[in-house]
Amino acid sequence: MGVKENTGKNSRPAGIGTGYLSLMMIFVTLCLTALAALSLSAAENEKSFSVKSADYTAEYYAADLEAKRTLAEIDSVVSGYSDYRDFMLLAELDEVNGAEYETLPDGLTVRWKTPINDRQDISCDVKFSGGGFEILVWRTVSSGGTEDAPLGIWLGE
Amino acid sequence: MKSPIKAVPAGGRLNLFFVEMIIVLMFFSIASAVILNAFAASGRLSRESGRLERMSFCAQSAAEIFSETGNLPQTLEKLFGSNSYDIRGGDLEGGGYDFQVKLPLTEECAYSPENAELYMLVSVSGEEPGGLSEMQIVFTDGNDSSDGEVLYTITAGAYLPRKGTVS
Repeated sequence: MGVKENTGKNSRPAGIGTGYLSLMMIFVTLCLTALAALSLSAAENEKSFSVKSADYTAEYYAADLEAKRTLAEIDSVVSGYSDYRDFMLLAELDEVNGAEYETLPDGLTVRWKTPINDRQDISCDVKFSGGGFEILVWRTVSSGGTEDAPLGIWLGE
Repeated sequence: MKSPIKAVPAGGRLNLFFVEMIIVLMFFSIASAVILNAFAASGRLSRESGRLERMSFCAQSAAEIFSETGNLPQTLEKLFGSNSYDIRGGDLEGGGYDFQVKLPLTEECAYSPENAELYMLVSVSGEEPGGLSEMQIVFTDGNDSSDGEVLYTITAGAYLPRKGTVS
């Protein structure tokens, strides 16, 4: 028996065999699809957050304007009186929508709430004295009035 | 020199490697078209959300400055610097006033008459002097001659009493 010569007819061809291309293509396509899906999902989340944030900003300033309208209305009522305990003044303040007042020795405090949305209000406290007014509170609070609710934490013995 | 690999060998049967490559290329080109569309859509969404955020911040800044000053020229000067804005104003019947201005802005909401990509329409109306003033800001993507699509709108106000103090 002699050494068998390699004629090339029975040997495997050099280069990429059948099936490797398909496997590589499937792998690359899956990777690209996953990246595209993640990118699209992130962009949609970002857009959704931006829209919510921009909508809230618009809602807040619309409510702020409404609160300022109420302040202007109350100021126009109060500025017509020099005595803050005047019965007519208090009767007119009763007619202002949502306003509550408290007479003080040195003036008058009026408070009201203007809704921003279903969950939040702008709470306003304004003190009238000496012919002018001072804004004591102008802040966003929860509609449920739970801003002063205890957190349920241990406060010590 | 002839290539050792032939699509149709001498025997007449198609080379399996070439058949597979053609199928793979066809499938990959179709998949790539879909995937590139998804990437393009995510890029567009990202640009839109960035622009909306910048418009919102710009409008918020304008609203805050206006609520303190109650004055449109001062608001624009603090917001964009001391440029020459074409503010059209007029008195309304009954002693009120009405101001309007159309500002060309870049995508970054910077004042730029040369490279306008957005327009900020600001209109202020109210009583004079002091009192309650209302400011409406509308962002559009139109060009100088047309109104374009409304992108974002905000309404804010200022109350500066005629007498007394505000703190």
